[in-house]
Amino acid sequence: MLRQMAPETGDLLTVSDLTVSYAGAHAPAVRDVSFQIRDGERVGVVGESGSGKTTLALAVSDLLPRAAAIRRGSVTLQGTDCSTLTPRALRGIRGSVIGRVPQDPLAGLNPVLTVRTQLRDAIRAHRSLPKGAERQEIVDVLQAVAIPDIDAKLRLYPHELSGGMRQRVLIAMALVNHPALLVADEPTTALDATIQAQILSIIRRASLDRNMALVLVSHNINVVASVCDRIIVMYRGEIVEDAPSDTIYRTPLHPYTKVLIEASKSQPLDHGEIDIDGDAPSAGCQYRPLCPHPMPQCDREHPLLDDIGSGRSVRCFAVTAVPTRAHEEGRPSSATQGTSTTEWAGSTSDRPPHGDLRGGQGRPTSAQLGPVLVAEGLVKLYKSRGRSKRQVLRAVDGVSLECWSGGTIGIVGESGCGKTTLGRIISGLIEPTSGKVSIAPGGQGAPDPLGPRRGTVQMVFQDPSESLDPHIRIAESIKEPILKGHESSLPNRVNAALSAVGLDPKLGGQLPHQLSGGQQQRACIARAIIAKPSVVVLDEAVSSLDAILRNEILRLLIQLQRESNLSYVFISHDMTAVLAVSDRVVVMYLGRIVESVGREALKRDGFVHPYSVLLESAQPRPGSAGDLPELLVRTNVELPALAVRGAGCRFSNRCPLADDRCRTEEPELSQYSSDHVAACYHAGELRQHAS
Amino acid sequence: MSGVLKYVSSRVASSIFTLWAISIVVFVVLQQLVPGNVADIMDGSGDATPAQVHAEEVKLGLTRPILDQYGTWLGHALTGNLGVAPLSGQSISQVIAQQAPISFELAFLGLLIAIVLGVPVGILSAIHRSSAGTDVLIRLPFLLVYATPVFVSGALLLLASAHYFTALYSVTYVSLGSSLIGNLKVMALPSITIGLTEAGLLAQMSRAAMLEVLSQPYIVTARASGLRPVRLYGLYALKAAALPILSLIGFLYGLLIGGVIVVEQVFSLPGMGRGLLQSITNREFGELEAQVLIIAIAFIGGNLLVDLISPLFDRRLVSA
Amino acid sequence: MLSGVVDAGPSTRRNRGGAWSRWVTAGTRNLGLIGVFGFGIVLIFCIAAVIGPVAVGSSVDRIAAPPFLRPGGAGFLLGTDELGRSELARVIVAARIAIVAAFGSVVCGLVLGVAMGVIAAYVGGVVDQVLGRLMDFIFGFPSYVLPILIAVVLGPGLWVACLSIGLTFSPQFGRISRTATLNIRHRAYVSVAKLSGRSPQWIIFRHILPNIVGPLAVMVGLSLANAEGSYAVLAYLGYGVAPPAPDYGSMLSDAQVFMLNDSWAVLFPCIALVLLVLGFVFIGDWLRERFDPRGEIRFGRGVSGQ
Repeated sequence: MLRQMAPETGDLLTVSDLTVSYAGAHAPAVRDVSFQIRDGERVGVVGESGSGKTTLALAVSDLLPRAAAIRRGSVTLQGTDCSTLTPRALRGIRGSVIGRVPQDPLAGLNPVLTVRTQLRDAIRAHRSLPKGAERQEIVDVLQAVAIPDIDAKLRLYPHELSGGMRQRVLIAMALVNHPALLVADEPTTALDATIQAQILSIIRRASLDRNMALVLVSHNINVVASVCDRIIVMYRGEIVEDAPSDTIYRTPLHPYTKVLIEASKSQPLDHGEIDIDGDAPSAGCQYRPLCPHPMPQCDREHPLLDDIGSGRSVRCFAVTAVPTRAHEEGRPSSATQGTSTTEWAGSTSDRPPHGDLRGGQGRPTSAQLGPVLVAEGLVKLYKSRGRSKRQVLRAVDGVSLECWSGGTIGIVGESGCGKTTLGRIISGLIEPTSGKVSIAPGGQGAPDPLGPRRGTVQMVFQDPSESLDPHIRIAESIKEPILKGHESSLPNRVNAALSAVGLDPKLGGQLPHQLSGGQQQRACIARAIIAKPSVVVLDEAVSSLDAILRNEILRLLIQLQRESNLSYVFISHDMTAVLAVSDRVVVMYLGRIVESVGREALKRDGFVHPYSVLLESAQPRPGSAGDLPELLVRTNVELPALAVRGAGCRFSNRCPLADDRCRTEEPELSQYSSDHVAACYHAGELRQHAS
Repeated sequence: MSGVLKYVSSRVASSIFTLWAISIVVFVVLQQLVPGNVADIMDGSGDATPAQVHAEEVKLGLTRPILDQYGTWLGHALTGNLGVAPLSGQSISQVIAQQAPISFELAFLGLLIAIVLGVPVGILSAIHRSSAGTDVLIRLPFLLVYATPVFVSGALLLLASAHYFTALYSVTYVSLGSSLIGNLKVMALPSITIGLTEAGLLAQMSRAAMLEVLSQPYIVTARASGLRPVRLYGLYALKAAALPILSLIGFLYGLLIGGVIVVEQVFSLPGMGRGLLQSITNREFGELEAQVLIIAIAFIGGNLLVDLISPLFDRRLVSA
Repeated sequence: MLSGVVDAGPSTRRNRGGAWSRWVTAGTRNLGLIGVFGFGIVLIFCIAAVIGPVAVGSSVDRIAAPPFLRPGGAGFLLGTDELGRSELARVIVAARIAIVAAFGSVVCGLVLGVAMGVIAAYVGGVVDQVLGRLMDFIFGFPSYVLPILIAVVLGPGLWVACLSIGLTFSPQFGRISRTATLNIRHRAYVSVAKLSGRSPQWIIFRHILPNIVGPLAVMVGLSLANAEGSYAVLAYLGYGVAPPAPDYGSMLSDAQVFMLNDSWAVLFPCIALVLLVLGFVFIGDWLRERFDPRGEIRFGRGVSGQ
């Protein structure tokens, strides 16, 4: 099946008025969606959960589950309407004309078959090649996704590969038959930032080299903007804006797009929580309930997606009702004032701005209040049984840190760095192998008679849907940290806690599954603070949330901190989130702290340890996948297993600055400048990263 | 390699340990806790004096400390000497040697029938799960057979064969050695009885296992690659479902052995199952112990076999 | 599986036939055809179990005049057995023993198994290993061997049978509870409870047990049918309740001898037993549909430690 151009329009893929709905749902998942993709075009689809973007991706690659059906509209591929194709013909298209990369790499590969078998089958499903040619194709495609040591890898089973490798194999499987279109649905969500950057770069390169069209679906607009030239924004099943990437950043037109872009940079937002699960208005614009500048029309009529020229379409009366002259001049029209996003456009600054939710207000200096958490020399070893030599896993290898009362210490690092283990040790869920954690009583003034013993820690976890007992009502769950106490005032406390996190107290009587993800996480926060703990450890508390929701929660956390003088340990792999809320940032790598810097010092010096620089530069930004920072290119090696470690700096096998001293002597944390320590002999030398 | 070694050795060790534990417990329980022993039985008429009974007990070694008795017994057993049955005077090993092959053959045939009938039905009904009607229709006959206790279906089959297809009706056992056809004729009905009963359960459970595999994301990915249905279901789905189905078979094996005991009773086959029941009645503990152990060995050994084959279908079991 | 919505337009059809038909329709909507059938049968047997012996009274043991093994006719609806007792009476009274046997065994197995599994998973470490070995040990006895041995030691009887059958089921319940508990043990709400200083007992009863009901329910469904069948076998072999109490298994065993010529005595206990087991099977199917529609829960030995 070779690629052809559609005879009339030259479009590769045309979606017209597509409406898809699931059995039993009251609203269609995808509604009246129309767009075209040309040969070789890279299009990103952005939206939060519930926006219909995944359903759209499934519909385009004809993989809709049985429960979904196309109610109206069509998908036309290379001039042929897909609904007219026989199942056999459809099967012929899948994999050869359209390739698909799914979200979860482990689940996407069959665990009982080798890599070679699955790749071979992907080829043989469509072509039958002589052995030599087949093998060559496999080698070629694996090289294209930058997998080293190809022969060895072919023989492996999926569970023997790391996450990044698996995802690359999946991409290879999608590419092996040289499809004309690649559909990638959240291909990097489960991966660390550095690996994510590599994968996105691989995808973009594949698209460029093969003149292959690309549809990249993600909830993260930065991810999409880093790879694609054109972005489609979806909200509640509809396209609300469709524009080239750079113009959408410079002048977003639809209010929802503006919100998305601001959220991606951790800018303050000024409206309520976006609740996709709630009912959409039955008439008028779907975004009306959240729109900051609605017009009278918006209540009555449903806006259409209008083409306003220069490759842009918007679904908004406020935009289209205004004369288009303003758009042609490239200036924001009067209806869209108040949303400057100048920081992206043509910016000479290489670093993504540190979203500053704190607004830089004056705060009581922490030194006056004393440390509430002191951890000294924490070490956690795990013996891994079953190996011939007893290998020891050094999950946390000598970590000391302090958190001041009312402040936030942010711990950032990739998977395997030990930050989660550290969080659990601090909270007391895990006993450290050695070292000590001291927690002072909470900074609330009078001891709380209803609370448990003083000096306690509570936690907020990553996945809100699994954080609450599904059989217990919200109010009961929230009450849990309060042991036998004064029952009479309990209901008040619960209601107070609910209000403090922005939830209607009436929700207390509901079960978790009746709440949205954002509401659930708020409930978890209420639960964490109700007993007035000394420290709250937040372990990836916002990592499962879409951008807008994430920002809401971050703002809530800061607000609560101001009101109640809470102290946070904020753990995340997401640098942006950490930077948004922390007074002090601690970077961990393989069980150790490699850099610790205060907020002001960070503004002044930037990151100085090569790994921190790497981590920061790996955050996706518009166009970043096009020119991968040299740093990332050189660190192509997958993260080494925790157990295997030689002497010397842990990062030395990946660091471009490593010299002999680095490889033999492990650097200790040493003062770089005021309020800034780093464990590196070459601290500060790697300043220019986004080249 | 070390992963495989570790897996194999841990499975084997676990099996041996369990076997050993069973042998001790059964031995102790039988000798100590059961009212009445062989000496009492031998004194069937009940007019021997207590002293005489006691003397008999001493002669049989029944008065020594229990662990002593066990040790002796174990030592002998490991060298193949299982002792002599006091009542009949026969060597126990001989008795076992006569009874065991019958039971094994029955179990094997029953398992074969169950697998051959049950697994394909289960898998196919999972693949064609679109119509709920045919699904129930397929499973209904199996369900009926499964719901009927083994002895009932056996008895019914016996009855039916007596009246309708007398070729398969026989009351005397013909061993494999003497005549293949004769043997198969005798074993046909009993093994069908067991096989059908288990087949229903196996069908239902393989269907469940297959359904779970089919809902996995990697099947969607395989479909996205455009794989043809034969390969998709035949290899991708089936191989992934092989492990759960295999462990189902191991599980069923246990039920099967229970069925063997009963079926032998119904069809009057001189196998170990019926022998077991007789040993209990006769308080022939030596024989009983040996029989229980052989059955346990067969069961645990079968499961061990399943465990050892499993890595062929799913490498994750042996990853270090 | 015909569960789910059968009657698609409830509001558009008028329910004629009054209360009875309304019950059936409501039941069908919630339980599906199979579920209704299953629960219905078991319900009937339960009713027989409760009021049967009282209603039937002494006619169970009343021995009529010869000839015995009479087919249905004057005075005896289902005929008489080989000792001249009323088949009908005996079949009804035997329902009590059958129901108690099934539920009793499953309850015993549940209590034992869940205790082993949850404790093994929650405490972990050595306790887990030991309990795992214990479960392997119990599981290593082929079917019926353990119940028979226990019956020999303790003497045959209904409760002994329940305990021993329950014992043989406990490893399966144990494995399932163990796996389910392992999944939940690290969930956030358990961690929060620990951080709040709650005791392990509190955590187990409040958070863990309610959340492992799902997989257990499926196993319970399977086990009810199994338990009934196992008890019938035990009774058949003579290890059930002592005579002259009526009991399907022993009735069948007694009547089997006469099967060739007078199949009456065999027929009715057989039908009753098969019906009851079918009822349990259907309940099991419904439970499976309700709690595990995608077939994620697997039975079988698995690798030790799973």
